Amino acid sequence: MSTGSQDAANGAGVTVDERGVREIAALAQLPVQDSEIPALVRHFERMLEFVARLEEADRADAAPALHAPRAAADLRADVPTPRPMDRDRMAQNAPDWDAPFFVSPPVI
Amino acid sequence: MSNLPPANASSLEYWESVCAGDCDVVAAVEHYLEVIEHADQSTSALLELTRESALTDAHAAQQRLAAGESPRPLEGVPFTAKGNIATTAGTTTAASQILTGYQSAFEATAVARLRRAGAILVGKTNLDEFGMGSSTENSSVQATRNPWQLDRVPGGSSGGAAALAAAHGWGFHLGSDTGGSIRQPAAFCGVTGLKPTYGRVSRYGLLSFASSLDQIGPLTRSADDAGVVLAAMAGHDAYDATTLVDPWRPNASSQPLRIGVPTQFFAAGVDDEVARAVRDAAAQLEADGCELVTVSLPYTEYANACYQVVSTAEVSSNLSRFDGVHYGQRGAAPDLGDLYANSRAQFGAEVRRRILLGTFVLSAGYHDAYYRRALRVRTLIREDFDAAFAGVDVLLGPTSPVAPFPLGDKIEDPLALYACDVLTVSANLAGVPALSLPCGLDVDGLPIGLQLHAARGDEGTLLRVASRYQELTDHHRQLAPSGGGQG
Repeated sequence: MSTGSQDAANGAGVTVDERGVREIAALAQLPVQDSEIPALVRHFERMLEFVARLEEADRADAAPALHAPRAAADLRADVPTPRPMDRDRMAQNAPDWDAPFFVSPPVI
Repeated sequence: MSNLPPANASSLEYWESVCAGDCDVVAAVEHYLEVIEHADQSTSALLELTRESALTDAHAAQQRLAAGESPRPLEGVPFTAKGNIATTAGTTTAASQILTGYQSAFEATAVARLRRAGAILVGKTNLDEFGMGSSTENSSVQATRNPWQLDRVPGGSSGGAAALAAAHGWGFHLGSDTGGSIRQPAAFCGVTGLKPTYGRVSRYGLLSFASSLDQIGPLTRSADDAGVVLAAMAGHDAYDATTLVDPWRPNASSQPLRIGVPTQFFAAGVDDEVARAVRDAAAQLEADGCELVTVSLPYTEYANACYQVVSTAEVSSNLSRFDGVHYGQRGAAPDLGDLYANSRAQFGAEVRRRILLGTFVLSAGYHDAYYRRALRVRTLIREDFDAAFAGVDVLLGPTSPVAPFPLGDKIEDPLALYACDVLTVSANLAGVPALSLPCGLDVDGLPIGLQLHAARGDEGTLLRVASRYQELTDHHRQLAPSGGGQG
């Protein structure tokens, strides 16, 4: 990715330039207009500067917290459990529905 | 038969009136619909009323009571759900153009449990799109105004819920809190707002923003109301594997409590008037027999940066489901790639910014430097809370560093808006319960919020302290001036 990165390993000095914004937008499947790009570059600049301070707080021996600690139930048995869903009602929200298929433009 | 309670009555007081037979549920719900519709005219707090189903439920409740059945815990109590919580009545749009007209085929577990407890859904409230914002100005439908002063924001993202809770009593309002979205608007609108322990309330039917941080909770007139609502909707849910198994229990002890006052909660950036009002509240609790202890949570200063990385990463993942294929508004396109892009072009500016940042911090080459690092700092923030709660029962500080600001004041500067969440994001990162309650007005007559945190799973102690404070004060009794009229 074109980000003008100086040190991607620790995030120091990383910047995202115009080409970088376009590449990230493509990854996110988000169209961006040319007119939006300068503001997004500035936003990335400010946000990356803001979050860069995490480096000074980081401690290598801390385990990553992937989720909040919890005392959740045991995992349920790996068997299908039908939910009482009304398929027709759900299909009403589909932009294009030809029962029992969602219709989309051609992939190829 | 229809002696309606006063406009500032709590949900519990209203319920007692229903149980005593003093108040007809149908008449009360009709009146409540009128007053919140009136409040909406000045505040734009509502996305829609669910009048038809509300009156059907009200008639059913009144018939139950007339037949001599025992009142359920929330019999006849009106409530609203934030627009990102699935209901079968009305639409569930998250105030996003991409979900315009979306009608959920199922009900959120929280909503279903509240309805089973007798509560009556009367409408859906406005929010920042998908819950992303701190002022309710990021709604694609309308900006909500603060009923205390209409040129001020109500906070966000549950701004519609907070504005209605401020305008009139009786009912309660379901919100969601990912980084302060219940507590900050509760503070700005002078009402009580509870973010439960992560996992206490099922997230099934809550449109996902950041799944490891999101929680549903109530905005109410009082802490006692919040406890009743929490009791009705809490508990394990087979549809949400992160829900807690252990039940929540009230704290009925009369032992004096130790209240920790973290120095970092009063650091630079906290308005003097806010700090003074919160310290006054602490002094009142001390005079009442609590012990105040100065504590330190050193990683607080990194919480907002940590939150920005963790939450946007989860946003990027969660919102990838909106592609115009299965539901939502579809953008016209000749092929599938353009279909995705043109459909997702309907996201508002703030949602797009967060998706982009989240995509970046998860991307190859940057994942370790940003996302993985933020997860380690999240552990350190959590350990701060664990260490503090080894010595105290609750932590006390301000909810928001500043008073409600004028509409338009920060909307062009996302970082200024993110700074409003500096005191609320830690609770979500640590998974602990936290609550905001009103503790006075500033010189401009705007509400100030007091925030309490408790250890994971200990809503009982949190609500005990909040309830006691509300016995000692009457801030929670005050309605906003641009309210819904007299009850």
